Amino acid sequence: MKAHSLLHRSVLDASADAGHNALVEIRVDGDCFVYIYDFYLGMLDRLAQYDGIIIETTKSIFTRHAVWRIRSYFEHNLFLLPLFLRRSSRILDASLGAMTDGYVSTEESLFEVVSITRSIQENREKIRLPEMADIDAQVILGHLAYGVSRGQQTIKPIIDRDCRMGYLYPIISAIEANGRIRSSVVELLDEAESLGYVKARMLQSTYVCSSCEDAFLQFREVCPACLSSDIVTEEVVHHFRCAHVAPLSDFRQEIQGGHILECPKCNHELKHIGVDFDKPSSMHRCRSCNKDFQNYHVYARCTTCDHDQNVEHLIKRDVKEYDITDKALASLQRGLSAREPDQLGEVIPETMDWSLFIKALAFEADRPGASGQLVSIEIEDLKGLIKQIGSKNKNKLLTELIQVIKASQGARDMRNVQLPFLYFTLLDTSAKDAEDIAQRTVFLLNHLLKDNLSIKQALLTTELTPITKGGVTELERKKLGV
Amino acid sequence: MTLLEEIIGYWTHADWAKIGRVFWYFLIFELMRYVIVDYVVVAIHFLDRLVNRKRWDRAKEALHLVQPLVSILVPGKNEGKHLFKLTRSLAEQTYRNFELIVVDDGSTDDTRIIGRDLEARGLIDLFISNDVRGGKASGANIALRYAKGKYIVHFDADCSFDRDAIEKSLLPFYYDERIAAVGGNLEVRNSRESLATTLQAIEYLKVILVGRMVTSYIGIYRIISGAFGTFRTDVLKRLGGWDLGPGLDGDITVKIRKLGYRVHFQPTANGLTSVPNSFKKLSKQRLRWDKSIIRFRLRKHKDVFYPNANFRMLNMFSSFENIGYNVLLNISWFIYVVDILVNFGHLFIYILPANILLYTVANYLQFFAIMLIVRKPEEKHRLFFYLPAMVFYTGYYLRIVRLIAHTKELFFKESYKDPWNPLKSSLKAKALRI
Repeated sequence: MKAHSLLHRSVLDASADAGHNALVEIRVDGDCFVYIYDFYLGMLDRLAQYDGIIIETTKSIFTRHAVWRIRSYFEHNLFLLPLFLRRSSRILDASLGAMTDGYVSTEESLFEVVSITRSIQENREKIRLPEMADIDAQVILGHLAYGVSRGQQTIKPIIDRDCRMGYLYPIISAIEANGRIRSSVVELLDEAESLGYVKARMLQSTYVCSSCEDAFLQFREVCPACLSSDIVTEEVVHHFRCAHVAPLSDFRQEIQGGHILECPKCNHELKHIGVDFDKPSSMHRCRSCNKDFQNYHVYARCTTCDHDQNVEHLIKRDVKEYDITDKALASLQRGLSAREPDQLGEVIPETMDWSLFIKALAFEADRPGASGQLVSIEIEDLKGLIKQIGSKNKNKLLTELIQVIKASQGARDMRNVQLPFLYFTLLDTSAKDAEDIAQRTVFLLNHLLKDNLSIKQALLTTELTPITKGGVTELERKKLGV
Repeated sequence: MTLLEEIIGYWTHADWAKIGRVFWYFLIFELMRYVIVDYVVVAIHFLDRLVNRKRWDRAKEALHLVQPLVSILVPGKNEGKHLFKLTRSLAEQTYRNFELIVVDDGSTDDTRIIGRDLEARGLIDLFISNDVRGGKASGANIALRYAKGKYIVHFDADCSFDRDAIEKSLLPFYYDERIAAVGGNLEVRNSRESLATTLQAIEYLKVILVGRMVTSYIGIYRIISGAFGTFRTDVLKRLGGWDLGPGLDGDITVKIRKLGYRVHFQPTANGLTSVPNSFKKLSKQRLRWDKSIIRFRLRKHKDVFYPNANFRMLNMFSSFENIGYNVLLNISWFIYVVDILVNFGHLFIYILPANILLYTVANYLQFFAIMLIVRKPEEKHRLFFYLPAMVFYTGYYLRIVRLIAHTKELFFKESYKDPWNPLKSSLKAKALRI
């Protein structure tokens, strides 16, 4: 069956703002692709419904913009979608090749597109990307998911002159360029390595500007005295006979039909290198300041910020490739992330481990004459909060919150963090007093959050429970989600 | 009667004719040259300072007024470990207008890295590194080619200098415009390291400090040490710099003298140098030095003895003094020994102790003269204890080394095999008989 006979085109969208058609639907062998030959942001939400995307490449700026926007989209249904380029001419941009899944050059090649698409779909079905509060973790796993869905075991850097570092890693670099993350690509990949998702392998080093960390630098050899590039280099000649040493031009004598080398000291002709003379070194002369030197300085001018610097001051960056580990594959298959807050296992100072906390509560419940209260404070929209402050600052915030809570407690009281809940006890305190203390504490905590994170609405809600055996059991059930 | 009493008794009863016959060598050459002349020159030195003080003051004023750029050249191989100390020593100099050019002559150690680093830090103005070794002369010549100063100071990397050493070495150029080269005084830095270095410390005081003062005052100063010499750049460039070594220090001095310029020894311009710390290493060094006397004085510069248009009496006398005292007197000493053994062999037991005593006394007399002019004499007191050993050091050890060197060079031209020069240069020099 001819490929073109499979094509069924229908104009989907007469572009609202451009005034012409931007999307064309193409059905091939049961799969539905969308063919884009113009791009605007509004179309992104609609693209996820297709099996794959084909992008027109006649306008290189448009092509790059479309690919990068799709690959940096926050919904994995879109950024993992098979993406093809319609090759009308040779595409020089290596990054486009790395972030897409193939080329459509003829209608026959659509069969191959279908084959690739189905392979990616098969791989994608094995992946469960977890819903994550942490944008960094989301990007890391999204990046890995992209590699896994393409059957890649290794994430390799690609030289790209539009990336600040000079190299890009598909997906992460696109997201960074989109401004969606605060961390740099390298920081994210290092984080992925520390979580055990990838194993790094050093490929090479690159140097970036000490001012703006951009890799696009113009190098030049300069005079160490005046930094001029107007330098001439000349070989130095050593005449064995008289030990005279001077630049080659001192020996050069122009004669009819050529030149000879004649020693200016002893007037003997230098005929045979290794027998009469040798060239032990060479010297440079700056034509600007007449400085003679052997070791010129190398300066690098940053093409982005125009900072001119000695190469010794450039910042060295390692360029690595990353093997995806079994742990990453397992996480993607189970839909879990090591970066999820409840799996962090990070210790907040002045708090107790959950099991210890429960045991201590049970003891307290059994204590004759005990009249303590357990206060639970829930942080509403925890994910939004962490997104705002970044995962790295989360512990700092929790530590500060716990310090405020501790100030309201007695010496025997305990604290525990089970996000999104903060638990603390008010032992030997009546229910009424405990309620006052809890309300005042929540007021202070809300105040702290509002003042420092420019949050307008209160983020914390509180609940008071007497410390009894039944209360402790209820708490454990709540933790297990039963 | 003990042997000592017997010897004393013998010589107290001996008549002057016999003493003159037996100790003729000492009385004619040694006493005259190394004791009497030394005292005369020390006296002249003090007189000169007194009489010409104003002239020296004017020279100092002129130097301070002009403040010419001085190029300090330090060629060497595997000298990297000394370079930082050298730059520190130079940083302390009272004369500040200088450029430092260091040449790495095909080093096989970290000299290149060290030199480049010091150059990057601004402690060396120009560091030239040659991939292949060319020899000391070629190293100095490449530095000379790129030197911009009006005067050239040639240093060895392992030397350090008094704070006013460069200033003092420049003064003679403003004292007498006919002076084209000035030799600085060198003392031994590692004199306490071993017996060999201690004896060399005494030798340097005798030969370099006093010996060169003597030759300088007489006008026959013949060797400006490569470790510390100052030259007029125009004269050096006119000569084409240094010729192939070994012995290039003496060679360049003769070449300057041949042009009609004066060379001057400046005893107040002081530097310290390290000397070989064992007799084995010392023998190797002295064999090289002594061979060069034959090669350069007798062969290369034999024309100073020719009565031609360029003949100058002082130049001839300078070379004659050099050859005479180093070669002829050395040979004549062995003749003296044969003479004594043949004619007075039966008195040898009386002659040898007396000879040693005479030389020891002469050494002390000479050292007293040295103490009158040497800087920091209090630091030299310990050397008094070693003066008796100098009889054997200069009287026997150095004479034997010198005889071996002269014989090897006279009959076998061994200096062309000396690894001090690269083989390519030595082969060329030998083929061309230079």
